[in-house]
Amino acid sequence: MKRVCYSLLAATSLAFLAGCNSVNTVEPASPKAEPNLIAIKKVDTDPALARKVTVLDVNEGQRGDLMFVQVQVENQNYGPEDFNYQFTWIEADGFEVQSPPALWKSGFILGREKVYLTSIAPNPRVVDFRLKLLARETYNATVGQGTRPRRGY
Amino acid sequence: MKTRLALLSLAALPVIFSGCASSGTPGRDARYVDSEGTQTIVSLDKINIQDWSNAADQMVQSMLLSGVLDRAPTQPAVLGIGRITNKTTQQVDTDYLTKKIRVALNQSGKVVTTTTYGLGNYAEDELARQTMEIQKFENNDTSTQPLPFFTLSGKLLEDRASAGKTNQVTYTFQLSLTQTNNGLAVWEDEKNITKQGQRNAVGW
Repeated sequence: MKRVCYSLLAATSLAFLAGCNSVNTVEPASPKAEPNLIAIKKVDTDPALARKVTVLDVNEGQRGDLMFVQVQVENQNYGPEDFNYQFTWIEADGFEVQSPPALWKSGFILGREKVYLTSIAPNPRVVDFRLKLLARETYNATVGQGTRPRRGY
Repeated sequence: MKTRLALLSLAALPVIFSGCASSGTPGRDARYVDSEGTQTIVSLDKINIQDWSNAADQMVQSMLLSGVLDRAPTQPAVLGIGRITNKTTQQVDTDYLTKKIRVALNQSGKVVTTTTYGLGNYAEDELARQTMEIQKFENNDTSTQPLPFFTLSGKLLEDRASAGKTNQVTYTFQLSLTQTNNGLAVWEDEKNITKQGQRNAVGW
């Protein structure tokens, strides 16, 4: 009986995984790139989102006199996820840049995929940044049309 | 006692989680939403405000990353706005795109836009042009006004497709930055914004 149960479980798991859209990747075993990875501080108020869009590392550089940031995120689930994100920028005196306004952008990440979220500072006075991540369902499920989370638009 | 506590905790849960929800019900009472936020309306038949913002932001990011603006001999470089051709089915004011780009480039300190010199001798700010001419005449100044080192031109395109009841629209934003002293496009980019669904929606 136990064996039948385990077989059934394995078959169900396989069927479940087969239905997911996880990504297979290939990349050099010894990458030549030498990113400037910086120490980061994370505040996770949505643990489910933190698993779907996990921040792996932050690469910080300069493009001319402008700060350039590349955040690598990974979806640790096997299904695709929609999310929104926003970069905000802080100048040396601690004030947040108001113009141009910080935009929320839509992001999409496949199962087990790693993607980069990049942004360049709006002016040379910027010294720090903050990345905000928001589950797309959060808004749609509570306020948007319909009562259940939607996929895509 | 324990059962009561457990029940109380269960009763408190919806209250706690409802605190996560935003207030208001869309479509009933009018309310303000953040123009740059995620609560704006997504339409399948028009370029929404967030589409303009997103396209402009992506273009500015691309332009700043390319480093071409740093190559101008005088900083900040003078930018002239050329023709942005609208090939979509909508009647749109392309300033929704170009103004956002101008603002962002101006804030970056790398570009200033001329408002006294434009396509077909059209001055965006006619009063400024006339004032400048009067000042030059009174000061016996024979120098020419600063001409654009770069010009920005482009095109808006639209593509529609449907499968069953699902509709899809793609708006394509194409821009070129031309260096005027040699007529070469030193930066070009194209950004697509694709929306898919059966009906318009509140929030994204």
